[in-house]
Amino acid sequence: MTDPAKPAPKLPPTHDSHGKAARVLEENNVDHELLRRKLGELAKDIRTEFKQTVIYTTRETIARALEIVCRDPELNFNMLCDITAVDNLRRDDYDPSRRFTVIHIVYSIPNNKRIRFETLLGEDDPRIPTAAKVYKGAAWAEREVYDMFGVTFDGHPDLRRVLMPDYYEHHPLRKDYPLTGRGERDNFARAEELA
Amino acid sequence: MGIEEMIPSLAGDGLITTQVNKVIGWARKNSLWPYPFGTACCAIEFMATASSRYDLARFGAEVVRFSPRQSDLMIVAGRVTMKMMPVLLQIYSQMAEPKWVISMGACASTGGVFNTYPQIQGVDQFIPVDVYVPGCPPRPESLIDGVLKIQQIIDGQAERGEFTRPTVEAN
Repeated sequence: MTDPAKPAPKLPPTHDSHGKAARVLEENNVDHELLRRKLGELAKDIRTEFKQTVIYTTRETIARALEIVCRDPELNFNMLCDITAVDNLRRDDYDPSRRFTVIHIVYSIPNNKRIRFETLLGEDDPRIPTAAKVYKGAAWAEREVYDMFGVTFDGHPDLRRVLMPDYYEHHPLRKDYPLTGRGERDNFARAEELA
Repeated sequence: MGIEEMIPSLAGDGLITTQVNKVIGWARKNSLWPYPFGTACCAIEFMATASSRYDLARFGAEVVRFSPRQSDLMIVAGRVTMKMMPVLLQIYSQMAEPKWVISMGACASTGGVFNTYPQIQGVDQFIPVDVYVPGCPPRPESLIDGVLKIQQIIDGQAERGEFTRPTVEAN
């Protein structure tokens, strides 16, 4: 319990974690002109959102863009942090042609730079090319996105479920899947029946 | 000397009359071999129960076996998901009779706070459970009490199914 009569001790400036985090984010930003020069037509839409560099790509451009930022000696984004996805179904401005956002986050270890790629996919055909040919570590991250959201990665070496059992039929992180499932958890035989 | 002097009937010609069930039950209940089906933090509490401070060996249940074929008490300690349930069923069916099951903690007994799509809402839907130990996780004293209740079942002081699942109030 804090004593209300006593004022809270003022933290020294080194404990100003918010300011430090903001500086770290700004250090990670990439010069937009450099990206436009390297990516050309592939990166028409480059923004800085919440102090982070974001490139909006499409299904047609994402694979080539990742290849360039990985292989280019000046950019040198040699690490794939994560691949994940967002289901936009419950958004106010929802549109079936923008059902899923697939997000690739890449990081340059030598330059301390970070880029987020966002790719919108339609509800009826959620397909995107694999990043596993450029970043080997992408294979399992893509398996997880496939398992949870049902996004198919074209050219993936081994696109199987990674978390849910193989016989599972749904993609549970989709917003139209109920939180408590569709009865899969109650669907086992009792031990006496198996014996 | 020793225990013979405590029992007058052994002092004579060394005979004692009892029931076969009592003798076998006495032997079984004092040498339970638990199989820890530990999937979460309850398993950590089980380790505390089994080791020196709480010392499950005082009740003859310290020989933890990781093979179902060598054990007669399954302690389901932790969350069971729908991917794990076939494994649990197979291991349970591999245990030799007679066998007993303790459902340890909120998750194994009712699903606990995890009312989500992969989470089994109580293992007693699929395997017969003898004793439920409440808690999240239960303290070692609670688990010891559960083992003592299993001992009551084994030597006939309690019926199987006498200790029922804790009820959860739905809101």
